[in-house]
Amino acid sequence: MLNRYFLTFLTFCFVSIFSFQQANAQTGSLLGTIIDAQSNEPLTGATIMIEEIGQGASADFDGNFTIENLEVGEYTADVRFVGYRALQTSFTISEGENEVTFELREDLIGLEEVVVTGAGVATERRRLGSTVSSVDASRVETSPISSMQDLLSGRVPGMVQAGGGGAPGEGAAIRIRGSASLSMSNEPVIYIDGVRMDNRASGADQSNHGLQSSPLNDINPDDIERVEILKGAAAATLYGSEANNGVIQVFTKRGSADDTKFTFNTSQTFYVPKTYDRNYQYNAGTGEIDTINSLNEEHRLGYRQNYNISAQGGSETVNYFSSVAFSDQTGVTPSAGNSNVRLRSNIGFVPNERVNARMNVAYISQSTDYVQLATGATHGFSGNLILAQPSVVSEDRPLGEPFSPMSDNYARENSLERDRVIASANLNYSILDNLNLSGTFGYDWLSDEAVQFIPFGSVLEPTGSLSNRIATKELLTVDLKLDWSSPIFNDNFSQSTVIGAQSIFDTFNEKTVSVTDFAGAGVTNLSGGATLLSAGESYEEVINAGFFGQNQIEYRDRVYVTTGIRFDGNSAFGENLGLQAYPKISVSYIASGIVDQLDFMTSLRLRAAYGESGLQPGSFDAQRTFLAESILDGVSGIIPNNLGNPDLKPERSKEFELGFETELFDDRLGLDFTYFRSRTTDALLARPYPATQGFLNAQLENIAEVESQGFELRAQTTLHRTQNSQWSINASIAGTYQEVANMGEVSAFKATTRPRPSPYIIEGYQPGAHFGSKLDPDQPYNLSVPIEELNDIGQVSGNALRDADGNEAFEFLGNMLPTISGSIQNSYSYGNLDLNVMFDYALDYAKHSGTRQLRSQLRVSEEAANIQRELQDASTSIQRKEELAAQAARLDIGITDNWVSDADFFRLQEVSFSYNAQTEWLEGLGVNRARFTLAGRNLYTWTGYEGFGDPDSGGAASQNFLAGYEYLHLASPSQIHLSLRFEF
Amino acid sequence: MESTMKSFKTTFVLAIFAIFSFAACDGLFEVSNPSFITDDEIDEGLADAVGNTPEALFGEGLVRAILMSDLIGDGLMFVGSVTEYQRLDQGYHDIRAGGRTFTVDETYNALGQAQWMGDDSVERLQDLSENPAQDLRIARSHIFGGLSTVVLADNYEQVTFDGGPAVSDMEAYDVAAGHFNDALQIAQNAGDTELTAVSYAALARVWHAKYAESGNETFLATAADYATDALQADENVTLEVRFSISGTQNNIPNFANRGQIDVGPSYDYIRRESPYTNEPDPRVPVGEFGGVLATGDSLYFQEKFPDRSDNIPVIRFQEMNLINAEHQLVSGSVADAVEYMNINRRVAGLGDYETTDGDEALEWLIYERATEFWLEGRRFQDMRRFDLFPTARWAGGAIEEGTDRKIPIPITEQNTNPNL
Repeated sequence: MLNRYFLTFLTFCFVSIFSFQQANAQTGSLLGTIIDAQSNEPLTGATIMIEEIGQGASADFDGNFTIENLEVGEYTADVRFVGYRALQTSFTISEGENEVTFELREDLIGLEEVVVTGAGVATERRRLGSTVSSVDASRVETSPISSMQDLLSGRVPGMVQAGGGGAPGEGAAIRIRGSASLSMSNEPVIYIDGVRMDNRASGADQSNHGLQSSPLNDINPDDIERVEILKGAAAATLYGSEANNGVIQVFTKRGSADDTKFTFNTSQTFYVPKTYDRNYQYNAGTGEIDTINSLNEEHRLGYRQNYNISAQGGSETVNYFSSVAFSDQTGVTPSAGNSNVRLRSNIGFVPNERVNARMNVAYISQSTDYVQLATGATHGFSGNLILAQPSVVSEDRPLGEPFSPMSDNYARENSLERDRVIASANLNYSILDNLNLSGTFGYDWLSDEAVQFIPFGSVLEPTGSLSNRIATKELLTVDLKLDWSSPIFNDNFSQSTVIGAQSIFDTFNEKTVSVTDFAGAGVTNLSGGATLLSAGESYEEVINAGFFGQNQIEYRDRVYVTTGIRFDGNSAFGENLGLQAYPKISVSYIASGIVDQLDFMTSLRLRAAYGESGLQPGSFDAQRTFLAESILDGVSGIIPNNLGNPDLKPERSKEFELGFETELFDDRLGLDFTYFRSRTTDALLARPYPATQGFLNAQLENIAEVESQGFELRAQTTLHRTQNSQWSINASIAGTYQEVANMGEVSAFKATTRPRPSPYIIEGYQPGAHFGSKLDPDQPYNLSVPIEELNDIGQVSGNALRDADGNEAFEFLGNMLPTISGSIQNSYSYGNLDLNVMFDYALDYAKHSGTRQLRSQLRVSEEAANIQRELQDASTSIQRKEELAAQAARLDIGITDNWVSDADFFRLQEVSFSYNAQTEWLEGLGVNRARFTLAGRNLYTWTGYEGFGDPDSGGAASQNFLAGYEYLHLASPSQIHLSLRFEF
Repeated sequence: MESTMKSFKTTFVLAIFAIFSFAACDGLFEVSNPSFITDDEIDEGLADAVGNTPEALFGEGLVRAILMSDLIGDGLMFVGSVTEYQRLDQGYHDIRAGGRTFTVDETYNALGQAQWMGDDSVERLQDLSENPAQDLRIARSHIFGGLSTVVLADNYEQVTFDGGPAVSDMEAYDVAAGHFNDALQIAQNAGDTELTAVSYAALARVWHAKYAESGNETFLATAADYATDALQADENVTLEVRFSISGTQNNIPNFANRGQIDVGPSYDYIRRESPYTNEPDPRVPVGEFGGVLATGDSLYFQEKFPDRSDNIPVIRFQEMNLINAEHQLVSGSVADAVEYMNINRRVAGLGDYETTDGDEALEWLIYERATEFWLEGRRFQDMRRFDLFPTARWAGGAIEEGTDRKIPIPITEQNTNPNL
């Protein structure tokens, strides 16, 4: 794209010189103004190109421009501005001055926007029959954004960020159009400037309810220009065997041939912890209920400071963007924090009109101290405080910590150090005007060092322990593309073709070691441990290589038909499998005929797309493997490990999309609608084989199917627009309905090994749906004593609903992921002031609260304490005891339904108020622009959720189906965000 | 138009080039997998490891079989709260209580895997060995693979091989006997007396098991012949599974000494004074646990395997003597039977038996087998054939109907094996 503008620019220069020399014919000058058609506001920076002479200009601050020495006659102008629809119009030049006003209409639905992801080359959105969502960072500059996930949250219909409680360094799981895979990761693949980035979540404590980071959050959100999101197979076909979960491509900022612009911004964020329920406990001695407020008392105001400096600019031959960012955060819980340093340098070279090269390098250093939710099941910060008991308060345990003193918990360390370098080089070469070759080489290297340290003398581990995990991940991307466009048949048709090849080399190496038995206090390193608990190493390597071709035929700027195919080979496929082919076809139709018939409609585009993509199995799932290990005294053996499957294929998604974009009512309302239906076939499920065949581990096979369908609707409306004020609303709603359609011969199974959570894979339901026992509504309880003797909550048990055979009925209790989600965004601007308010919501899903379950089990919830008090009261009537027994049955930990509750919510997610300072009074300071923003995030949630914390807290990002489970998790704090931004 | 043609040609050439260079990248998708060994990587250098694996896998299965069968039987009792073990102790064979891992399934799976590994090792070593006819590693693979089948058939009604159809316990014993004959052949070819004796002893064991399950006395005579051959080849014939802390562990102390799985009043032979000696039998070593049941009976720890690296014997000369004793008894020669038993008693440091009464000698034989093979996984079969199941358990719980029969093929094998 840049290339094209650049060529245009050069042409313009040449033509200007040429026309100057011939200025003796009859000429006139064009005094033009480019304005917004509705508000009549001047559009500073809009460009005009006069097609007949290839001469152009751009509008000044008042929207004006002048082109001199035009020969008298008819001309066609092509007028463009970011965020507006391109205008092709004709005008006449007569001798002398000609005043012409060009009115541009806002492009509410972004059809003119150029996207890169999924199309092979930069393409206007209207040419594509499949959906590409994008988030333009410049439009959300005033939002309180401190991470990439904040940037995307609520802005991409159909994308759900599940879990993640907002502790420092904590990230959420990302699901686009649900969970397509039952066995493989459902995280989308991430590209940054054309280069694959490792997308695995990581944390200090991977196995034990630990918090995890999202790899997306390694990217500095201030470096982002825009993000493009492909949601499914129809759009992501060209990404082949890794694209079933969608593709997120991040584009970072670039310099341009302009004076150097420095930007300094700082944000100071305060985190206000949520207020939790107190802990209650019945005191048999006094007959009263004691309470304790330890959890709230131990919380504090969190604080994050963030500083970012960037410089961008360049000349015609070299341009650059570079930035340095530093942030430091202290969490709302003691000992939790995160600090990071992020550097980026993007340099572009334009040595001549045919060549254009870029080199991007980013370095990220992150250091996170995680809050210890629970170590050894219940120890840790929240284990002790969420379950605090007044009866255990003592000098050692002033907070009523039932498992280990808080001092002990604070002395532990649970940290992750991450270093990451992402570098890429990209070269574009125009072989001919309409034939370009481009190549990209990218490298993502990251190293994690996780430490879990328990000092000597701890209650949990009296002799202390230390675990270290060092993981190194490397991803190499090599990408080559050739694109060629030309007219065909006659002037009505043209075509563009892209062919390309892409290879990705992915390696992962992890070493773990843990020791115990320190000699005494003060020993903090591995060599201080007298006993080696474990040492291990794991390695994964995947090579994917594919080539693709795509052809697009255009008919009179109105109809676009795109066909394409990708072939992939992959080291993780079974040896009997050759290349996999993924085809696609899409049609885009600009329905100007319909628009002409309908007065209220200003534009309509219809589209349909079909495409396939894949998801590769794990690195070595296809291989038959043995584990060499010590088996007897000093003797090693070869233990059968993985049965292997030489026919192992990628999972394959086949997706069909239909949609339209339209602008209605004099461009006041824009609608963007998509319906999709997809089917994942060959979905991988682990099938157990008879042990008498030698292998005890279940083998992945392509036997399952998952069906999805849904819709995404985005509406943008401008309610009010004048010269200096504007009010617009952008609302979205997405529905995603999924079910496991076929499980081969594998029977329904629980999708986690943890004892409490209830996600199941069952035919006919959403993957990971909650299932379990339910109370019998007619007779909810059983008693171990006669009702008159009932005096303890422990004498009551829940009576589960039973099926015809007398077994506990196994009931559907709710979806793991919301089927409906979306957001409503209000933007109001008046002069220099901007006000933005965003709500987001999610409906039709449920969450399992392990915390509530534990609190009831330990009787520290208000409800349990009250029931116990009344039961112990000798004056309680039999009738009341029956009521209490029914209440107590709802606290039976064995009845799953008691702990799964609707998690539907509507949330005030973002509010921001910003002031753009006048340039005059800052000019003396050398500041061109300044902005002050006061904002809030996660301010209020309306929900009927009965579990502990927030409906969206909890869940481990690295685990496919734990997003619906919360265990001793803390709720996301509210944020107050102050930011200042200066441009020099 | 010319430039269009030119660019078209360029595109074509580049496309062809791309496809060919892609296709030419032979081995592009080869990745290394250092954590594991693949089929192709098992070569001569790993032949010893291959030959040792059946022993380790058999050891895993054996430990499970001992715990399972002694819980169902009277060797061990469970006083903890894990529902599955409680139910096993009450004699339930096939239960899924409490969502626990399932001992009867896991025992079957571990032994089933060991049995497969025996066959697989034999097959691999026949390719890897320079002289398969005399390769003792192959003989040992036969022995441990065959023993896996024997322990399966001792406990389960039917046995499957390599995901195939179920065969009866008697057919399974014949398969095992085939392995032991092959082992014998190799041991004799190699001139290895120790392994020759072990092979004979294994044959004696399997024929005795056939007798135990069928009551067919000709099987017992065959067993006695092999027992005599074994003792002739090596009067101290012994084979133990070699456990180690760093490898396959003897998990009996781990499970049995945590105060949950105990030796208690259900086991009749604890602290029972050995006939004629008025001393506790040293072959049933127990430690004071201090726990006392509601009935007033004491609980004990087992001390036969105090450490997780303690080996478990699977072939012993004492067994050969007891097979001979049983054969003599069934043939009516009580004095010879008593003499065979007394050989074992002297080794254990106990006084001799003296009797001429066949019934009394049989009772002593049962006692000798119970104490000699305590915690070696042999009691379940004896309890069945001599009808020794009690009518009630320690906790007063009812005995499940059918406790005195073998365990059916477990659910996981039934669900996964297409031939069932």
